[in-house]
Amino acid sequence: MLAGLTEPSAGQVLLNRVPWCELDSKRRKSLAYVGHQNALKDGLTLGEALSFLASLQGLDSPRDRARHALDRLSLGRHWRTPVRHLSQGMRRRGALARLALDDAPRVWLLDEPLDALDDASVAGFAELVDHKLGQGSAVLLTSHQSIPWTNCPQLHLGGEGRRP
Amino acid sequence: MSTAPIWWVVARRDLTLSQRRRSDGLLPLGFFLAAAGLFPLGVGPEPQTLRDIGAGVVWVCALLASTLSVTQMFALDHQDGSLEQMVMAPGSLVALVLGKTLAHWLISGLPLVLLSPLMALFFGMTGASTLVLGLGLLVGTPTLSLLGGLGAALTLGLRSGAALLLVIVLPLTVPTLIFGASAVSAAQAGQSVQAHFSLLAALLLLSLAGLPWASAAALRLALD
Repeated sequence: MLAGLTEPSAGQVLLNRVPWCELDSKRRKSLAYVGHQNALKDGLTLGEALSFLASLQGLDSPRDRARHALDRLSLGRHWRTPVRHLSQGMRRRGALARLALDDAPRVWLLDEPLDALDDASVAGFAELVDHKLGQGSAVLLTSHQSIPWTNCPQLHLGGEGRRP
Repeated sequence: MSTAPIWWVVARRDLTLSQRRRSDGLLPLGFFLAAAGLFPLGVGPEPQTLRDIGAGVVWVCALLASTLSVTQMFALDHQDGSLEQMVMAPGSLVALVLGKTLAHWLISGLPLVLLSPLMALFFGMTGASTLVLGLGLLVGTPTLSLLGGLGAALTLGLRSGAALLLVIVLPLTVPTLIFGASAVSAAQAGQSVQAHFSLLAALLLLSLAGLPWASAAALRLALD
């Protein structure tokens, strides 16, 4: 719903005080979303898959951006590796690399970003998030795992979305 | 630096994927060849009978082959989360649907057009009839891809989506089937085919003017 994929049955989702459904294409670029699925095609190489996501965002030089983003997530050497040959953790990092494609998004919406990541990958991702937060941006994420940020607001939900 | 239009970005990716998974593209083509090729064996070798039924058989087989391949147009992107990214992208969803449809036609429709002379040979068609069959498929198969795209979007995420897609799409393809097949019949009878081609072109233009928007709306509903 926050990503604008589902209409709320009541209320509104506002981004900078503008309802999501009224955002023009330029303003939509201010939100980046990584869902539960990785959105990486098994039949493409990691470089091709990420370049496609960059092109989809209308970014210039998509290949250069994809290469840079993969380097930031320590996946640069897998540029030519087909996605189907990557482990679950690498695929998840590849999906998260799309966040490093562009500095423009001011809001990140992340659904279970730490899924299948090992401790080193979580630390690398934490650095990426810290860098983003340092720019004055907002990151909203859901996770079933403990998250490495202790100085940010957290809402703990129990079964069926209720506060324990 | 200018960026590539979204329809081309999506079409190019689908073409790359198809090139890597050739079996997916060859399956409808194999179905088309096998299904149309069985008719001369079943009906018998009488040349006049084959010429009479040829156009109809080829068009029906082309229609079924096109529908067979369209079921996956959005389903795989839906499964792996790519569709969410596409819908959220700043570009137009209609342009995205057009890109997917273009790729589907290039992968599944154009090969049928290129194979039509072989099919015409199976059914003993004359040179003029073969040309009309090929041109008819060239104008008609994009309409089939556009209609299939709407069906694929409407049935996205449903359990028995493939069967429902056939029920939705096949009745809508009847006008294209009628004018495409009757153009060949008219050519065989030595009559003008201009009216048939005008109607096929009109159907294509109408489909282009409306179906991508309807498919985009159906995709949004499917993700809601």
